[in-house]
Amino acid sequence: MKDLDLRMRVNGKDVEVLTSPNARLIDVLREELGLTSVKEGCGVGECGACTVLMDGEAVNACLVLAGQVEGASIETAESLEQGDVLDPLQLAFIEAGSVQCGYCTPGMLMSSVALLRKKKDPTRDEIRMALAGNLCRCTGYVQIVEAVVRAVQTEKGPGGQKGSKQARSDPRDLLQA
Amino acid sequence: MLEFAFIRPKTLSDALKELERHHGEWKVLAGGTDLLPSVRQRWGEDPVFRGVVDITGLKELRGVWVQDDVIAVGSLTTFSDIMGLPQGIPELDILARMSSEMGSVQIRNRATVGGNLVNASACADSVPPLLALDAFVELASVEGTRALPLEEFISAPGETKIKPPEVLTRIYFPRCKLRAEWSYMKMGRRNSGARSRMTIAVLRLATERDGWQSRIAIGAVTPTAMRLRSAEHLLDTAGWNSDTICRCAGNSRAEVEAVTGARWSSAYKLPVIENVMRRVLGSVIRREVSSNRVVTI
Repeated sequence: MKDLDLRMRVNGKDVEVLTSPNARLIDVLREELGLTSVKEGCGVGECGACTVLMDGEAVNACLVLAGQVEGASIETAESLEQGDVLDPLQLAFIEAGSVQCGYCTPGMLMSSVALLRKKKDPTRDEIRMALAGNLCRCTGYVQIVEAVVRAVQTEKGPGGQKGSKQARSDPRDLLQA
Repeated sequence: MLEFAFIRPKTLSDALKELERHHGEWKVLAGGTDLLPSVRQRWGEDPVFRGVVDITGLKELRGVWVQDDVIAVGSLTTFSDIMGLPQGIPELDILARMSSEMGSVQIRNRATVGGNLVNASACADSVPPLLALDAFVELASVEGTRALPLEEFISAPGETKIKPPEVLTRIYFPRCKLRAEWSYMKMGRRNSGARSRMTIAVLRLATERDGWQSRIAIGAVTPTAMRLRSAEHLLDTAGWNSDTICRCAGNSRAEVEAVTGARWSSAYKLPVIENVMRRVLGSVIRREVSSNRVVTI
């Protein structure tokens, strides 16, 4: 029965949601709020596909009960693009060939955002440690690590820095290359 | 999906009253990294609990308090919290090292030390270092609080002496008066997100008479993690040198086998225990803090 009344902040907006007591954060984000970037890969906190930021910390949304999110701030991959403009981290993922089936990608992005907020210039080892809770069955991880390195190297800065000027880049241009 | 009620009390006293009210039928929820996977695995079976009391709102249970002779860790302290503590206090350094090899970033941001202890998996990572630290646990209910040595608290894999509706509120241990050195090693199948196959936590505390008080705890190879007191005694009496270390390593293997008996895995595990123990004890006298990686097998 949907009798749990929740108030939280999602991607910068205050929201109120009515859900059931046994709902998980991933259920609320996907079903009530339509934020389907949050994928359920395993449901037991081992694959990281459902990684979101909760009060700035990377967590598995499948392991957080909805009621535990009362008053918290949640960020999903949908928050990275600003209108039509992709975040430099997203561009780097595309350019480095880090996206195959795409299922792990939102989780990889959010874990990377969490890292880059704490460390502006992480080593490859630090990147791997930060992404160690995100599994990918397609790429072999090398391109994903390179994407984060690439994002660090761009002068525009990593995800989360709102208001930074970015050149508009249509990903379809890359496909024709 | 299993149906259950949910409440999130604002104070510890409210939480204890709610648990008392729903005695035996409601579960305590903290980080959820053990409880929620277990719920999922029961999909379709009879409900095992009717409700959860989410204690993550109880800020007073999260934190680390360092005093001159004792350190207290609130039960809601996450493994990430422990990793974020300032370095240089050996008792916290060994806990931080253990934390860094547990789970993943996402798990460490939610999983709590208290939850790890109450869940009491045979391979629970926080247990060996806390055993080496001679830790106590504090349990609270509407009737008051009591304390137990950690060594007594965990009685069997998955079982503790907690009496629902009690809540584990704090873990505390005495501080080393003089110099202390430590080493830690975790063995698992992967660098991350790996269930421990063996963990070894070693501490040696300088004594006033220029000797050492040695503490060795091993986890995941016996039904509950344990202190290897015979090996400790050998080091304390014969001194920390390579000869004693070799004997200790053999001793450790024998102590473990005495608990488990001969098992199908013994032909592999026992030599590994001996070799790894020798390595870990050696790393203490060489003052090496080995690289921040799980030893993969």
